[in-house]
Amino acid sequence: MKLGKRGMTKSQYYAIGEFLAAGIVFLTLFTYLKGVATDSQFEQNFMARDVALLLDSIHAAPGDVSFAYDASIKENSFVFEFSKQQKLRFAFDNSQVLVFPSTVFGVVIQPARYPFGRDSNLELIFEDPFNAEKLGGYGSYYGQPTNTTFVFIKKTDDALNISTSQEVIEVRNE
Amino acid sequence: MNRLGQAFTLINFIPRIIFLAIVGFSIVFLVRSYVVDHLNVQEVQAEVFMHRIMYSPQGIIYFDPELSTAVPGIVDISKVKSNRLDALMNYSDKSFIAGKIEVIDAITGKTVATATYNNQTYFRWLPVAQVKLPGPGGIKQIVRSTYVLYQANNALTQGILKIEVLLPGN
Repeated sequence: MKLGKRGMTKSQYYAIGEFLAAGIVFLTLFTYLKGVATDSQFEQNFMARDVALLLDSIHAAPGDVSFAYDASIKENSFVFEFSKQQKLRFAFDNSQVLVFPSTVFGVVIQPARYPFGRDSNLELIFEDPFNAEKLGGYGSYYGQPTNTTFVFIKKTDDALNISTSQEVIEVRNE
Repeated sequence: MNRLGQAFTLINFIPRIIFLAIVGFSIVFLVRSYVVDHLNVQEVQAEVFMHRIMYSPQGIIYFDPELSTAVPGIVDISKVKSNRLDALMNYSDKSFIAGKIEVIDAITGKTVATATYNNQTYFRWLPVAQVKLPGPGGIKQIVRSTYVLYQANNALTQGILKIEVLLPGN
């Protein structure tokens, strides 16, 4: 087989092209996997849906209900553990649950949102010891500026009370 | 190498490229099947929606004023109104969920009362739901029926509560 100017055959060029194609596939795949492993978007979406469905369920209860939702991720049994165990921040507006990730280099990433069906017959009360917090230009929401450990929900005949806490406390659901 | 020789070398590489593509796609398929990055809670959402209608004291169930409690399983026909359902569940997004409830007399089979939740969206989505297109762009229709008692004219009668939920395709 005739050698080229630089001493390489055509078949060697094809082989290099083949390795490059394989490299691009694997690099894309590993970038995707790294993104899945380090990003908290899945956890945010999970928590937003979980809390919103919980609020919907509590609305349906024919009586008074008091519930403390444990929002610490590592307490929940995911199939594998994420490399960065970061806590999330919960916020609420009148009919949406918003879950923010931990602040990354001072920039607040877009929250995961999921709506809950607010009952117009019940007064919605947000008890927030840190007052309403404006998070990352997404409007005014009720929530803590710090990581959330517990979301407390209390329903009575005429009101639904939501509050969050960062304290790790002993709770007993009623 | 002459032109014919170059062409043969290139043709020899085609099976190798096809094999590489198969291996690449297999790995992508395996990884994608083991990594869950999408959450679909539509079935749960529909169940919760139905439970809110069936059990919420502010919903359509009979409220006993003497006992001061709602009685699940007994539908108060006077409460089966569209505006009552809209007040019961106020989702911020009007394109999130829609539904229809129907109380049917168990003996005669006639519809006694009907109400829609998110009326405009329901009638906009219904023709799309009947096509049964899967995925985004389609509308998922979930229907459940349950035996109830309904109260009308101070009398309890056997009935069937049919709840239809429409959700955008996911």
